[in-house]
Amino acid sequence: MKRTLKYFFSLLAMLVVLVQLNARDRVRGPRISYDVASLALLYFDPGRMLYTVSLDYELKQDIYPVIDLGYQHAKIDMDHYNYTSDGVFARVGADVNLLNYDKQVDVYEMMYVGGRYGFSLFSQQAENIRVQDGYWGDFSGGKIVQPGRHAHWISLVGGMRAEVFPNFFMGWSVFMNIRFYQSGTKGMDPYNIPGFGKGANRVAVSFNYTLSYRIPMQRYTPRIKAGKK
Amino acid sequence: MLAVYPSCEGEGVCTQSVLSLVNAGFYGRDGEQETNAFVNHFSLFGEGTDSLLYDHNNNVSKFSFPMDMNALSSRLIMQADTLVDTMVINYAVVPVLVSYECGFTNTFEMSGISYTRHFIDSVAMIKNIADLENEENLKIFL
Repeated sequence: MKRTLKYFFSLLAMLVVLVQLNARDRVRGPRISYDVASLALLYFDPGRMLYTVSLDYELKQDIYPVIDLGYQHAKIDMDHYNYTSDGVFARVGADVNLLNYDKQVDVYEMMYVGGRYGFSLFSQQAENIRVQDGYWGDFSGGKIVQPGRHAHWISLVGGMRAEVFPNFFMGWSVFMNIRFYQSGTKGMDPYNIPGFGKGANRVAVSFNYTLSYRIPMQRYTPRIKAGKK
Repeated sequence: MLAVYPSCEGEGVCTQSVLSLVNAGFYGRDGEQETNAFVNHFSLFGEGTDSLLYDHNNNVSKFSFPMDMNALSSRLIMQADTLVDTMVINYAVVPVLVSYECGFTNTFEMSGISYTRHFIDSVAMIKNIADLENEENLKIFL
């Protein structure tokens, strides 16, 4: 235990020393984000729960590879049917910071655009389907089960992010999702494709508001672009 | 026959019918040419029901009717003046989502049709899926 503590404090001391090394250094490390905008679903769409976390990393001063992972559960209870859907999604891509930091190196605010490839695996089913017919008599008990469906899309992303405390960030982003493939949902467009949006639409727009924490693992000196001082 | 359902929280109310109908039309032949035909005193009902869908209607050229969603075939009794024909349609019932506000319709995927020939000459199935589209499914030649 003593040895572990010793190594821990040594590592901490090294980090502090590294911080002093170079005024042009930048801190970087994996940044974990959670989308709190989905909490608004509790009010706007109470049958749907969406959880999204993201991981990005400052590869260069303005390039951030990113992966978004999420899970969604949707439930609709109506008089004439019950619907449930469960699914996961991933979006992989990168963001490009449009702000020029060549003269203010240790600043991490971002105004960015990006792109993602997104895919989702989900299942959906409707039970207790009832259709009224005043002539022959009502129908009840219908069921549609669609397991193992998948959808694929690309996303164009734009947003802003600010460092509110050291290593803590807040930001928002808008996703424009363009679906190019969806498997086997004949007869029942998904209510909402996890990570994409409304299943009946080929294009869907979503809004994220994220809280992020960057794990300050490393300092590095970004290369100044040619012609800049 | 219009089914109206209230919607869940915060969404609209469905005002659309979700009952799929078979659309049919009467036709005659003028040489090789198809012509619209009109029937007077036309009545139609489903066997096993206690009411008429059409009751001695005049000048009928196009008509629609539902089928029994709890069965795999429906038997329709048609009368034109004093002549009576029976038409039996076999089908599979396939639920299809109309919208999340309105719910589902049951479409009929028709697989066969048989009929008597008192005032009917022949029946052609030109679209075998009866759904919410207003497209003609059956051409009934007199």
